[in-house]
Amino acid sequence: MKILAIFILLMSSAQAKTLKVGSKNFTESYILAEIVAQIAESVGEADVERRFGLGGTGITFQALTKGEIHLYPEYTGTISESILKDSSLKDYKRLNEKLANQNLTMSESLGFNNTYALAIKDSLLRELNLSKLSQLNTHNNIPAAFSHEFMKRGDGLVKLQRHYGFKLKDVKAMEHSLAYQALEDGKVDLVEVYSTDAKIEKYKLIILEDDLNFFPAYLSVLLANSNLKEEFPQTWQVLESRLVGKIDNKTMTKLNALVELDGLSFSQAARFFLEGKQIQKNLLPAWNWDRIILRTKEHLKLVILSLVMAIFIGLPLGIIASQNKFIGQFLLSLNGVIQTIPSLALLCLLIPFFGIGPKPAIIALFLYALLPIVRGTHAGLVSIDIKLKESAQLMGLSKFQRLRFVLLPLASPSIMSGIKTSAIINVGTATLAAFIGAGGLGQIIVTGLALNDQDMILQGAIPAGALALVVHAGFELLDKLFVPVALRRN
Amino acid sequence: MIEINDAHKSFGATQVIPGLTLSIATGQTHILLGSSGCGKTTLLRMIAGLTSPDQGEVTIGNKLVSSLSKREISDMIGYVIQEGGLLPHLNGIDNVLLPVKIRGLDIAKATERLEAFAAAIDLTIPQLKRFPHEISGGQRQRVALLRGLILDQPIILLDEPLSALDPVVRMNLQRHLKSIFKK
Repeated sequence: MKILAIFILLMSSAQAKTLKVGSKNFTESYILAEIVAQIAESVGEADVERRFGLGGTGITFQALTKGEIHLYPEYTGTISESILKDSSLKDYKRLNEKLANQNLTMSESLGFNNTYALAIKDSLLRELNLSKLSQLNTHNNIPAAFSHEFMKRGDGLVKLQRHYGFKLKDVKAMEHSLAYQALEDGKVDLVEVYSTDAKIEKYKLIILEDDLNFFPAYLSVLLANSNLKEEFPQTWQVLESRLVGKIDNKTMTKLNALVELDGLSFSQAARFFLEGKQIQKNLLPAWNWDRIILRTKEHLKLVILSLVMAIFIGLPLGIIASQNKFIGQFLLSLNGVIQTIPSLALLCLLIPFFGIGPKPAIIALFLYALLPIVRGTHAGLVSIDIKLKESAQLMGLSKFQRLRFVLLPLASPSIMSGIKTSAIINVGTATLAAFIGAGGLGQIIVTGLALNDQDMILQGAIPAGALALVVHAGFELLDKLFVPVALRRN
Repeated sequence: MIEINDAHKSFGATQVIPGLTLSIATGQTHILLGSSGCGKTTLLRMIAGLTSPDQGEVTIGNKLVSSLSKREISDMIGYVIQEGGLLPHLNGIDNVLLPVKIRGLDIAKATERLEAFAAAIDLTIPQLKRFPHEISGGQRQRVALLRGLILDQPIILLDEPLSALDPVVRMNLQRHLKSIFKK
């Protein structure tokens, strides 16, 4: 009987479906997603997979529509402005109708409104006599820093300026968490903030009054695939009953502060909310070596797989390119075009085909690694003295023998330096793979950025830099294996 | 038997070979003399199929050179190009033996032949184990000569084989070449 029970248990656990919870790459999104994950785990209807820290609305929403995640925390304002692109959509019912067309659904508001606001340091309030947005008319030379998203989105800077009729003269685009630092350093005076941001308190900021009612409501909701309700009915029900209307602005600001100011982990903050117990702060070791080793392994996997693919494809392409001038020009310029696509954009473009996680990251890194290898191979082969090629012909070498015994050995220094360049670029670029949930050292950097935690950023950045050095040294050794001794430069 | 029948060759506006007819019988040694740029190398290149005449034809043993594969030409002609054309990444021995190796011929036998020739033209084995950039111009030229002779093809083309040699070595080499050609 017992054995049967264990067997059934094993069966059911093997068959248990996985609920994939996503989040964007800022503190509040991490905390809310972690709360969702912990509730889902306590319900026990499904295994829970955390796919946190996806880059921005674009990538996270793509991941949702492609079924890579089941749900993530979102805001009504973002849904109407950035996703549905219809700012007239305001109430819960109409938003949900529109979302249903895309096979999506959202919960009712979790209770707090995290809207955009513009803020200045409180010292400036008296100095400039500036307390309302409309007064920016007379202070339009105030140095400002806004996030890329705020500068681009429908309800962002452009419309704000039109609504109020001012035009700021000195605006910089900056990662949100860096803008606070710039403010602290006195580089800028005006930033955009979220109304539940823990840093408002920390940096003693004053929110400028939205006196002409521009900013829409950004009510916190859970945005989910429609089939979530059917697949995990109990989980969804418990999520709604425990979260809808249960988190007010004060609670959220407190949770954000627990993480950003008191140094709690996301999961500790989530547990604090769910269990109501005050938790000892700073339980995390200063340098979390287990995490660094895990992420380094992931990082190496991304770099090595993509590089091996790039070598297997790039080397033959380089050889083909060297045989024919027109094909060569075509291949090299095609490769050049790929190289100009910004990495985040390329990652985003690959989601529809490869989902999120390591796969699209490896494909993107592979594409970036191609050019240096194709170019190195091509350059190495075309620069070989015609006399040596004729010599090979006169000795009676077949086409393949010519490649094997003459051309590739002679081109090997250039080929190896192309591969080396690719490897080192890949070590750096792979940090961006964290934005599509591929892990790697970038994951630590992204989390560190979200927390504005410089120490954590360094925990990702230093190993990444060290890895680049190790890779470089490794290739110096490989040179000895592949480059004939007489052709080595040193 | 090499037959050249009314061969013309121009590079751009410069006519290098203005209709040449020439017949070379088996067992003969010929020397081309002429000032620099007069087409000596071009003629050799035509025979070896590296360049084709604009007009006229080149045949070896009654077969058009243009109809032969590169391998077939290589099996018939040992060609030592100007300044040798040694592969920089291989040492002297590997350079000489490469044509043997790629044909799957007996390396041991070829090595014997190599050693006999090397001794005849004053090349030591340690010298042959060096890379082309590690030996002198004259030594390089002799290594290239060894490579041209190693397969013992019926036709040997030598393009300025003595140009980079000092007078003593040159005399020795001339003597050795003579004895080689007699065989």
